Amino acid sequence: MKSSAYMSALAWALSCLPTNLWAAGGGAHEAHGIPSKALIFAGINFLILLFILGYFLRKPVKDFFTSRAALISQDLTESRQIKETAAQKFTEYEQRMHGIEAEMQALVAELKKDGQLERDRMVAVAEEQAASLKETSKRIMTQELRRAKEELKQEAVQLAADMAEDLLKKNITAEDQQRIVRQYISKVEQLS
Amino acid sequence: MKGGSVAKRYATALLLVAQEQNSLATIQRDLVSIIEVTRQNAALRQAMESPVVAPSQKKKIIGELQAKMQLHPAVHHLILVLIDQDRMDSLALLGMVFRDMADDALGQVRVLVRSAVPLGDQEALLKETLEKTLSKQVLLQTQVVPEILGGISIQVADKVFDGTLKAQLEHLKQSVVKRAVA
Repeated sequence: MKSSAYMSALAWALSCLPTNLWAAGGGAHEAHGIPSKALIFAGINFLILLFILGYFLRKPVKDFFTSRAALISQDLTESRQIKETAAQKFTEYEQRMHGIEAEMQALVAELKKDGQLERDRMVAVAEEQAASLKETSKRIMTQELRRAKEELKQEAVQLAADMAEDLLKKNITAEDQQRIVRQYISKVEQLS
Repeated sequence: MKGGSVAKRYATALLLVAQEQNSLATIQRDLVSIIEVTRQNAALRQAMESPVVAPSQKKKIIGELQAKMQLHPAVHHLILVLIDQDRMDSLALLGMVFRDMADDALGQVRVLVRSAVPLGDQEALLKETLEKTLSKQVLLQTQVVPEILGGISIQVADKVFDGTLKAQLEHLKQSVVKRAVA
């Protein structure tokens, strides 16, 4: 920074020098055109300026461009590396995406398979329950039918017995009573 | 069961006394009398069986009954013992057990006959037949139960020989139901 500031100040001083020389020696010859001495001094000044500039600026300029070239080269290298990294990442992501797609397809397939198995299992359970229900209903129906038949028969027998009892009550005579008792006494007699 | 064994123990003791004094019939009659009195008088029965009433008061009541009924001393003494032992609740059972034991000792048996109509002349025939069959003197008790329709049922102790039309009809009904269901 210090060197650069120094160089700028020197360049400014030299650029002012021909003008000063021109102003100092030219006042008497303005009416006769361009003086040849002034041109020579200006040319010498210019050459000196070029020399000084070349002397003082050669190394900084060279360093500047060298460092600039190195910087650009470094930037290029970094850019290349970034590009390579990006490409690698792109490839990696692409592969991963392919992997994810395959994984998702596998997952979907597995879910479908599980769903199918679950559906099959549920269907099997439902069929089993339906069969059991059918069997139970059939058994209950048979039992109910048998019970109804039994009740019907019992009712019929009870009715017949009631009718027989009524008939006996109406028709049994005193002689019948005595005969029955006598028969039973005979039975008791036979036991002795 | 415990009450039964207690009643049997007391009845056996009373039977021995009755046999010794040759007064089985009298003792049996007096025992039946006092049991009937307590059975028919609920307040008396409750007082005699209550643990709240003091034994001295129970004895006083029995003393008054004794004065009126002139119970056999053995029966009176038995009741006093039952009061002391707080066993008056076993008196009715004791009476039944004693009756059976006395009957057995006297060679007699009680038979309850149920019939649809009065037996009439057949009662004597039945008594004779039963005495022949059981080889004991039969104390026949008859009961008319029209619901049995006809025939008779004979109960000896805890055994019942059922020859009634009602029973035969029931048996027939059961048989038909069994056959119909099978």
